Amino acid sequence: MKPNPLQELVRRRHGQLGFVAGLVLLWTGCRSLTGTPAAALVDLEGRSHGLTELSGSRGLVLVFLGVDCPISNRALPEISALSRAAESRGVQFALIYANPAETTQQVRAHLTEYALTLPAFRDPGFPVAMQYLTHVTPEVVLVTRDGHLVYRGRINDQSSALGRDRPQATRHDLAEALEAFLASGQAPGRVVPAVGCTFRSP
Amino acid sequence: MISQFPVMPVMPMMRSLTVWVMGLWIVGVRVHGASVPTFHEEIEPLLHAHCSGCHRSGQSAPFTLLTFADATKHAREIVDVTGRRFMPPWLPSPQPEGFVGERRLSEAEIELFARWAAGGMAEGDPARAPKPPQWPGEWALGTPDLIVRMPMPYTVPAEGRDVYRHFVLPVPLDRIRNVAAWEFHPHSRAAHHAFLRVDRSGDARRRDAADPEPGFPGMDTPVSVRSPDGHFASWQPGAGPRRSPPGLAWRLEPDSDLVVQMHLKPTGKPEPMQLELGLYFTDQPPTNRPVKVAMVNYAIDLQPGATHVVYTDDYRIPADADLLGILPHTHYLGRRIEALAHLPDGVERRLLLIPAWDFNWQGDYTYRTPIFLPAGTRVEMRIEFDNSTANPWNPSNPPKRVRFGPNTTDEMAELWLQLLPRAKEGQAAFDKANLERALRDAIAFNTERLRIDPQDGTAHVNLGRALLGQRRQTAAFEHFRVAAEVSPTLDEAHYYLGISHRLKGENEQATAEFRRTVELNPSNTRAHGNLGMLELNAGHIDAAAAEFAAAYRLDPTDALACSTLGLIRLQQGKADEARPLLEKASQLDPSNTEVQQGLKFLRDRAR
Repeated sequence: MKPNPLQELVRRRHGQLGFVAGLVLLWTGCRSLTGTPAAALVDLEGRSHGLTELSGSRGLVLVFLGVDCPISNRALPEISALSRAAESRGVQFALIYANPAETTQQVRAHLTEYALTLPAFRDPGFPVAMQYLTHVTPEVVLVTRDGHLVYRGRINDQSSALGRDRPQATRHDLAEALEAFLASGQAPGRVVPAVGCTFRSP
Repeated sequence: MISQFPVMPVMPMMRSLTVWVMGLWIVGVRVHGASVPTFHEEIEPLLHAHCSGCHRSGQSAPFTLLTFADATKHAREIVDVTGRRFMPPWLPSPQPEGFVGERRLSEAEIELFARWAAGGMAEGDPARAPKPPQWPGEWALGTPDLIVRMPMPYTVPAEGRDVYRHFVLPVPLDRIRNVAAWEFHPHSRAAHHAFLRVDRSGDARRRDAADPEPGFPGMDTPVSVRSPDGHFASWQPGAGPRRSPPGLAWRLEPDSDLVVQMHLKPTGKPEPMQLELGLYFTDQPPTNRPVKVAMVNYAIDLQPGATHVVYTDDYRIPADADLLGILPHTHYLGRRIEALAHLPDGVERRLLLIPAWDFNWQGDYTYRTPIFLPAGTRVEMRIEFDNSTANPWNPSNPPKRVRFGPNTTDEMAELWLQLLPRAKEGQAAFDKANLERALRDAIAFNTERLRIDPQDGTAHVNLGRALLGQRRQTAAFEHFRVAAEVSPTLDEAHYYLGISHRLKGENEQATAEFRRTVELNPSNTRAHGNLGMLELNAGHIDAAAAEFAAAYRLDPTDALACSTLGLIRLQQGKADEARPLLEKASQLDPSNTEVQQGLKFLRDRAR
């Protein structure tokens, strides 16, 4: 059967997109291999901070979160507990409110409401989210001090889709990745897909 | 179609891409045969009708969905959850009879959300926006006749596993009231579902007092805590007030406690919760009472990794009745629930289908049009389970062997029917059938418990009691004997062993067992009463009086202890002690002729 012109158009366009996506992947892959993160985060006062500056002596955990995403909010106590335990072992945590629909005022209110004491940042234009290919909240990235990817993805396995959650998590992927990294110092670049609220197009 | 718009090969690349995208958009419009939906024209009315009731400030949903900004921020989530029919939350497939409070989007509405998001989330003309929705006042049915509130707030912890807890609300009533409607306000975003129950025994109050925080934990409700007579009473976020059909109000008696069993989900921060219930009374006493019947399977035994395992049970309708409502129940491994009616004429009719069960959104369903089930109809419950890792709700990873039980990591398979018998005599047929089933279920339930733990003394006692109900005395006595053996400090084991001896006429052994019972639990009223009878038969009047006095002190509504003690005092010539006892006994049981004779004797003598 002759493909109709519309299908043909869509196919060709997808082909192009695929090529572009491939280039982007190759580029980000090369960048994480070279291990020099150039992207910077912006704090709530508007000052820029390079990722190396925010990193602990061994590494950095970037936590992408939102002010009203229930999956993200429910995981916050786990983030706070992990950060307290990891800080003294050389890993710092940074909160990233990447959703441009959320105002800095909302972010400040959220920090207070959830009693969060970790440093909080925005990612205007998504340079950091694009560098690490994150697009939902909650999603975490664990990198070594020189920017090598140790782990990216979900915090735990409580939710397998929006609103579809177990009574309790049965796997704590970030905790496992942190533990393995602190023990071995290796950066295997493990990825477990995250489930949550989308803040930018994947 | 492509040739219909200009192709300009000389254009710079960016501009040609724009034309491409434009072209795709135009083609898209032609293919769908409709314009791209805009927020104010198509999406906003849908949000107001189906989402904003909960997704607004002060309600249960985690974020608001009212404005254009809300909708664009959550567009992907909206498309995802409506496409999966996770939102609006509604588990059953459509039934021709319809359900009260059904919340479903049509396929066309789901597609509108998807097309709006894919089409760039156009805002459209604010002048064409619908009128802002009018939300009901604090109480949808107006000010309730009685508002009961938790005396103290309970704080849901910020983190950890889901919480299942019962909250006890004393009801200040001076007389029996008929509840026509009720509305539940959890005042907390942590609230996920709730069942309303009534306790007249004080058990729930005692459990509450024994726990330092408000309420007491568990998915396992004490047996004395029951659903309102003839009704299911569940709540989920978004459920409005619950009204009983005319003539079917439920009775709430003075000294009752309302007990709310709640499923709470930690939200990431401590969530104080002080729930309220609004009750609406009617002066019209109920003219009829629905009966509830349960199909249950206690034999659940799911191996790790097991999928498509179906557990069934059935119930034969003993008299013509209308099915008013239905309540399915299973935990996290239940995947698909079906209820079928096999009518006497051979026709099969579906009563309920839940293709993708979700424990978090459980509740009961009332049919818009009741379903007539003639006598002889066989109702069948079919619940399918999945204990593999493919079940995203599985509380265990890797999966574990799971059997029947009340906890989250156990499983259940239940289906309840709410039926209204067509004729008055129908009620008696259901009562008889239900008693038989209650005994059958108690035997199945406790047999299952003993399979898990053969040393469970309470299960032996309860199995023995059910066997006694079926007049299977020899088997019953054996379980009481084993109960006392495996749980020598369980007072009920010795009590029922005493009963076995009494039934066999072995009075000495019976007395010894009842003595042991009151040693273990001095407030076992029934043991005192039995001891009193045995002492009386043996001619030990003073000892008998002491036992009846103890029983009556422990339970001032024990008519037998009160009347027997009164008659003993009369016989002992202690008229001053006898009179108040006999007067009270006459109130408790006006049909006792010995008491009436005793009172007559006292009156004659006074004259």
